Amino acid sequence: MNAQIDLAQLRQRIACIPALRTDGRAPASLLSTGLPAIDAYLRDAAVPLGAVHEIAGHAGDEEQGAAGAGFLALSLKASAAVGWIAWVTQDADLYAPGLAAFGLDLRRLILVSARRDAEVCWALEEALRSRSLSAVVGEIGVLTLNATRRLQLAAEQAGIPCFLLRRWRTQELAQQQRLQPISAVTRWRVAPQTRPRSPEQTLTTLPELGPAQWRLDLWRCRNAAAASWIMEFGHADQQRVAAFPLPVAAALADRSISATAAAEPEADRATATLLRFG
Amino acid sequence: MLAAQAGNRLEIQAANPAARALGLKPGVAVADARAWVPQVVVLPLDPAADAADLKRLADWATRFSPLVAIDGTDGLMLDIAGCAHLWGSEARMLADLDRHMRVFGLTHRAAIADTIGTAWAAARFGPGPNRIVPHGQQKMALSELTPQALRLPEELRAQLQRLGLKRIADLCALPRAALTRRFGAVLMDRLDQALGRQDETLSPLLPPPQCYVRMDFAEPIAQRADIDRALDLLLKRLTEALGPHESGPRKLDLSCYRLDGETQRLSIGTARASLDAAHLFRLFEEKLDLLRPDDGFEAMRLSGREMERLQAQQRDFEAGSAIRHDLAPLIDRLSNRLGEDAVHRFETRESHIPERAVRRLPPLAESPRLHWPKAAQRPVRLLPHPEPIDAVAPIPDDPPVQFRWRHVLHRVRAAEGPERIAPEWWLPGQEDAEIRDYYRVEDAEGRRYWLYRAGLYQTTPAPRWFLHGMFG
Repeated sequence: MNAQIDLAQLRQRIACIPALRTDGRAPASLLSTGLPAIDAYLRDAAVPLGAVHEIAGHAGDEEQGAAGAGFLALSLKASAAVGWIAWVTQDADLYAPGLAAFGLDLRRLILVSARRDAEVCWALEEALRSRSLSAVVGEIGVLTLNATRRLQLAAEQAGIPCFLLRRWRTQELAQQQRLQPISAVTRWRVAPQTRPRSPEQTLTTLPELGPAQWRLDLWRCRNAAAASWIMEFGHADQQRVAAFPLPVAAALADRSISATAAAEPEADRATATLLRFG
Repeated sequence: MLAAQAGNRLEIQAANPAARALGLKPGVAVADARAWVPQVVVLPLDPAADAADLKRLADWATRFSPLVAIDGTDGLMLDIAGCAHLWGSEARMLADLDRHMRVFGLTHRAAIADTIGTAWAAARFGPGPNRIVPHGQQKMALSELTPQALRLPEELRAQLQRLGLKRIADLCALPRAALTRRFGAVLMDRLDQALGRQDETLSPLLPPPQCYVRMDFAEPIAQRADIDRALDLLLKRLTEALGPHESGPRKLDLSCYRLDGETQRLSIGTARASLDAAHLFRLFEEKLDLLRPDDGFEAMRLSGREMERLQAQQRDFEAGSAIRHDLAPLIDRLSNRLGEDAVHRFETRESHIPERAVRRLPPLAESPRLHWPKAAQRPVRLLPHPEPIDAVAPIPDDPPVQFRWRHVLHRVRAAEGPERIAPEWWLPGQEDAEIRDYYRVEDAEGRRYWLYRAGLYQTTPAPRWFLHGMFG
C-alpha cells in the first residue's frame, strides 16, 4: 500500500522535472479521455492537460481524420467539461450532429475557419492566450517544430489543452509529416479497425455494421511508454464506449516493441528509456 | 483637347482654355478643328479612367464631410451640414478646397448652398468660380440663371429654349398648374428641390458614419510611431465622447488622407459594441502595416457605424460555464484577421436534408437551438457537396458491394440502410430535388462512409451514387 503511494508521488515529481515542464510546477490537471482504461494509464504517466496533444488519423483516415475527430470529441468532453471550446478548421466538413453523438456539448463550441496552416497556428495561439476558453482544437497539415513549441508554451501557461488534429491531403505528405518531431506531450494515432466478421457473409447479404472499432496508439508520450488500445463506440446504444488494452501494450512492459512502434524504432527509444527510469 | 466618337464622327468633348479661345468648343468635329488649327493636339477620351479619378477625388473629399456622392461624370456633391465650423467658416472651407484643387492641377467650380439643386446650379452656371449662396437666398441666386441649371432632361431643356423661357425667374412667374400640365411633374419637382420646398437626399458613396473624430496634422506624418500615436488619440477621443451615451459602434473606419490626394481606408468590426480603446487599437494594429504613407498623411479621420447600446458585461451563463472571461475580444481578433464570417457557431434547423439541418450562427448569438432526431446516425464529417462515386449495386434497394471514390476502390464489408430522405420540395430551388436513400457502409479497412443513391432504383439510366460523409 505504502509502496504504491510512493510510486504515485514519484510519478508526480517526475512530471515536475523542469525538462518536462518549463516552469517546474506540477500540472494542475491531467489529460483525460473519458475511457477508464486509457485514463488510468495517463494518470500513471501524469500527463498534463495544459499541453499540446497531437491526434493523427492512420490507415486510410489521414485525410479526413474522421475517427480522430470522434476520439477528440470524447477527449474534449472528458477534459474540458465546462467553458468554451474553439475548433479551428480549414475545410468546412465538420458536422455538428455527428459530433453530438459523442456527447460533446455543441453550445460551447466556437468554430473558426482559417485558410492556411499558418493561420491555424496563429488562431490557436491567439485562442490559447485569450484566457477565455477551456480547450482549443486545430485541424492542421504541415507543422514546424518551432510552431509547436510556441503552442506548447502558450498551452502550458494557459493550463488548457491544445489538440492538433492532423490532416494530410496526400499519402506522400502523411509519410513525410507523420514522423516529424513536434513539441507535443502526447501523440496519438487513431485508425479505423475491422472486426472479424462471421463467415455467413454471402454475395447477396451484407452483415450489419455493429459498433465502430478503432485502434488507438499512444505512440509518443512524454512520461510513459507507447501503448495501444482497441476502442469501441456504439452509435446505436448512445455513447457506449469502451477501450481494451491491446495485448501488445502488456508486452511493452518487458520492453518489446509494439507492432506500430516497430515501424519507427528510433521513435520508441526515448520512451523505452523513460520506462526503465520509472 | 480630348475627343470621342459621336455618331460617325470624332467630336471634341473637352478642350483647354487656349483651345476654347480659338473657338474649338465641345461639339465641334475633330476634322474641322484640325482644318482651323493644324497644330492642335487631340487625345482620345477615356471615360473609365475619368470615372476612376472622380472616385478617387470623392474618396479624398471625405476629408471635408463624410457624406460625399458622385454627381454624373464630372461632379461631386458634399453634404457639409455641421462640418464647416471645423474650418472656421464656409468661406474658409471653400478656400481650403480651392487650394488643394490648385495643388492637384484641377480646374473646378464650387458652390455652397442650402439645397442640392441650388448648389448644383450655382457651381455649374453661377457667375463666379466659387460661390456661397447665403442662407435662404436660393430664389435670388437662381432667378438669373438659365433653366438648364435645374438638372432637367435634355428634351425638356430644348422645349423651354424654344418657348423662350431663358431665365428661371421667367419660370417662377408662370402658374404652377399650367407648367406641370405642359412639362410634367419633373420640372416643378426640380424647381421645388432647388428652392428648398421639397426635400432631397444624397446617396453617399460610403455608408454614413454615426459618429466621427478627425485630426489634422501641422506636418504630414509618415512614421509608424506617429501613426500609432494619432490612432491612439483618435480612439481615446471617440470612446470618451461616446462613453456618456452608453453606446458604441460595431464598425470603425480609419481614413487616412495622404498629401497627394490619395485616401487610404482601414476597417474593423467587433462582435458587439465596444468602447475599449486599447482593444480597438489592437484590432487596428494588425492592419496598420497595410497603410502606405509615402510622403505622409495630412489628416486622419476615425468614424463609427452600426451603433449599438453597450451591453452591461454579460457573462456566459450558458452550459453552467465556470469561465468568467469575456469571449468578445478573442472573437474580434480572429474575425478581423481571418474574415468577418470566419468565426461562428452551430445551430440546427428543422430539416431532414443533412446539409440544411445545420447552419452557422454569429459567435455571440444567444443560446442556439440544437435539436435533431437522436435515433438517426450522422457522420462526423459531411462533405460540403456530395461527391459522385462509381458504385456497383447488383440488387435493387441494396447497398453497393464496392465503390470508387477519388480514384480509390473500396470493397464494402458491412452495411446498414437504407434511410430514405425525401426532398423538401416546398422550398425554392428544391422543386426538382430527388429522393435520397442513404446507406452506412464499412469498407475492408474498417472506414465507415455515408453513401446515398439519388432517386428511386431503376435500371435505365443507371442509378447515380454519391458519397456524403465519413463516420468517426
